[in-house]
Amino acid sequence: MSQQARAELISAYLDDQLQGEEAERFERLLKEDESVRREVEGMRHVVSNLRHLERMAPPPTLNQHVARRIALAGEQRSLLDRIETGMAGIQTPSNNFLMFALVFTLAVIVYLFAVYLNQDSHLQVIFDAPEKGAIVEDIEGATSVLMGSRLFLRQTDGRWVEDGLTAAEVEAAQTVTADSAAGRELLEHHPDLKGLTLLGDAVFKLHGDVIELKSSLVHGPVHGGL
Amino acid sequence: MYAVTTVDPRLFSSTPDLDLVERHRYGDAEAFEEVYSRFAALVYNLCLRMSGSPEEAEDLTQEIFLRIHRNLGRFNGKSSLKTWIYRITLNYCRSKLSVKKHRYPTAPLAEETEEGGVHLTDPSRGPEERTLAQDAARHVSLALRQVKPKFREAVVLRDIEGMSYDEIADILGVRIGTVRSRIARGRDRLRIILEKTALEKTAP
Repeated sequence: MSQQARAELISAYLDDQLQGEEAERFERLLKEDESVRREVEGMRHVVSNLRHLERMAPPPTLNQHVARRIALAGEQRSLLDRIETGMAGIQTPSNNFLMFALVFTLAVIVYLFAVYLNQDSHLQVIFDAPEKGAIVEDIEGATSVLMGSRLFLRQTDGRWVEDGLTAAEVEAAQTVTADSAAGRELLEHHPDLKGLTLLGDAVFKLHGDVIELKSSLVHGPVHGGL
Repeated sequence: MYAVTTVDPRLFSSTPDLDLVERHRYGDAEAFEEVYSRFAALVYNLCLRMSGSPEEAEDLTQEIFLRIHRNLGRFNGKSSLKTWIYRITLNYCRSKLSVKKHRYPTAPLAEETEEGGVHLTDPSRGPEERTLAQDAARHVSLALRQVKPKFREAVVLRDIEGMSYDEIADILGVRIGTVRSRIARGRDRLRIILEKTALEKTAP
């Protein structure tokens, strides 16, 4: 018999939980085995000691502490209730308002993000493709681009030069930086250039003047069309 | 602060326990005070035996009464209020003790109680008998702390709280056979510890 099984029998015996054959078997074991008798006495001693353990009165301040905790919890609950009630007050008439506010906030976030991206795209000098412009999928590999009615040819130095311009004209081109006020004015408001995409430094003729529009910035990877 | 009612809730309650609960639901602060005065010693002592520390027992008791206060309105009377409170107490102690991987303190309980609880002394005992009893109690208390919590709680409910196997099974939510096994293992562990302690005391 395992120690655990023996302990269970002894414990049950002390609690008068053994019945029938089990009780008889244990009585026999008790008579025959001295070690079982010793264990019974040992466990009886344990039980007796436990039963005589004095009960302790809770510390006299405990009730005050409990009362304080409950009051504190009540105040917190009350505060939460007030907040919930207040929220409920807002919610009922203004559910639509909350939804609108949420959508508006999201829209603002999206707009700001778009502005940020746009700024980023300005840095890379990427604009929307012109309506009539040819779209070049792999702009980095392109050597010529049709922008509106103008054909631009890529030079070995990376500049885009309008077809038909002589080397002298290119050399004498008036330089305008894209992100300068004049550059922006050209790109944004000039009827011939409005909405056009500047991929990098571009030289073109505009009302008799040859202009080199410089991106002035590092050319990043080109993500869009012209 | 509390809801005002013109109907006396006691008219609807069928047992003293449910009466208290109904009064508590209706905002009668005295109802909870009554619950506290009936069960504070029970909860505190159970926490004390489970934790082995008067300070910790006090903290546990506060938390448990906070939970009792919060949930008393949900008591449905399927068990007695006492059983319900035992369950809350043991569940809370168990969760706290298992989280802490409870240490087995070795400081004697008798010394600790000077800062914590107060002995409910049996007036029929003489001074010598009391000293012996306190000495034995100290050893048993120390040994109890070294018993696994699931065996300890079964032993505490049976031998200190004096509950029947059925009641213990109900409180712990286990079968009678499991109760019997846990009580036995707890007692056997205590027996071994106490015998070892006695041997150490008598050794030269």
